[in-house]
Amino acid sequence: MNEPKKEWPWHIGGALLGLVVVFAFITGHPVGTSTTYERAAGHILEFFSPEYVAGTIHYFKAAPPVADWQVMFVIGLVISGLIARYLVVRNKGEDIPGMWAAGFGKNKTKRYLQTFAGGFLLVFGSRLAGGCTSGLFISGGSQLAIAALVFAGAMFASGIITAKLLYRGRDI
Amino acid sequence: MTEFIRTGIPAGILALGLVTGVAFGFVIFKSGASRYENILKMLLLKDFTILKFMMTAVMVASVGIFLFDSVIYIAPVQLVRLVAGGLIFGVGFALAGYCPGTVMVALGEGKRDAVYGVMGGILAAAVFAHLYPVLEKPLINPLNYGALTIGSLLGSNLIGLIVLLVVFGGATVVLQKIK
Repeated sequence: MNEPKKEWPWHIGGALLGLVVVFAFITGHPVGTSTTYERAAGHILEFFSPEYVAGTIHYFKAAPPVADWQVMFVIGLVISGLIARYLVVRNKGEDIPGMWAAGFGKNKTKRYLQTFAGGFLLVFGSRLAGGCTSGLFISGGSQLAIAALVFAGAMFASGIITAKLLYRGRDI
Repeated sequence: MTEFIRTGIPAGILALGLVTGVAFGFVIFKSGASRYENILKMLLLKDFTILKFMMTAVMVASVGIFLFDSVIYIAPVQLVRLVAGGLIFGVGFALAGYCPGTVMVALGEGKRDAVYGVMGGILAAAVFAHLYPVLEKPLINPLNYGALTIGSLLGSNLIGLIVLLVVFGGATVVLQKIK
């Protein structure tokens, strides 16, 4: 398993996460993640067809594919995972989550396809909504934004229904 | 590196982003929020640890942002995009067991499924950008109620903050009892 032996209790972890968010705000940047996917996509498309990115899609103009605070924040997220893996848990990683394997079997391809589809819907939904868990819910909610509550309500409603349907009849 | 210079964003700001990302991601890892199991148990209503963790983070951050008067940007309540986007996001949340940020932490942790989650996400960003001109009118712009906050609705940011703390704090206590 690829997990820390002891997870921090939710109130300690939550308080620390809140303090990191405060630090981000007082140093001038709300936390957020999903715009970076757009920049990454813009970078990749730019490599193949600069004309397509520069000319036809006004959306990439609003968020030009360049490095900024949030891109570095997301790179930091990956680095934190590397630190966790090599300095804290010291293991080889994990092919598929244990709970998923217990419910659906050990077929890696099936899990990877499901995660690919999940990742697609996560980011498509985020871009449509204008943010994800970090930007809309955590940053938004911390500024008392009503948008955060609407988004959270919708995401938990469909998330709970989907999870219940996926695990229906499976004793987990 | 030339790319960074071309953007004109100071190296100090980029370093700040990196440091904040490492801290944010490490707390997510240590709290178990980058684990498929913990996300799915929350969505299956069996273990609310991650929900309590998220609400605690929002409560602490809301107090800090209020005290330092550091509100930066309030997303407008565009009802159609928030509900449609949230509903699509939720399905992806349950399928992947990650969100767009935690999947990046999981990627660093060496969880192989996270690689595919990130690839799906990048594809979605490209598809969304391509469809944006078509989606803008029916799904993004309608029912825009502006940059509402709990404070603006109640006429005072302090009262808004207190309401958020009471509601989230109360919910956390109730969830703790349910387990």
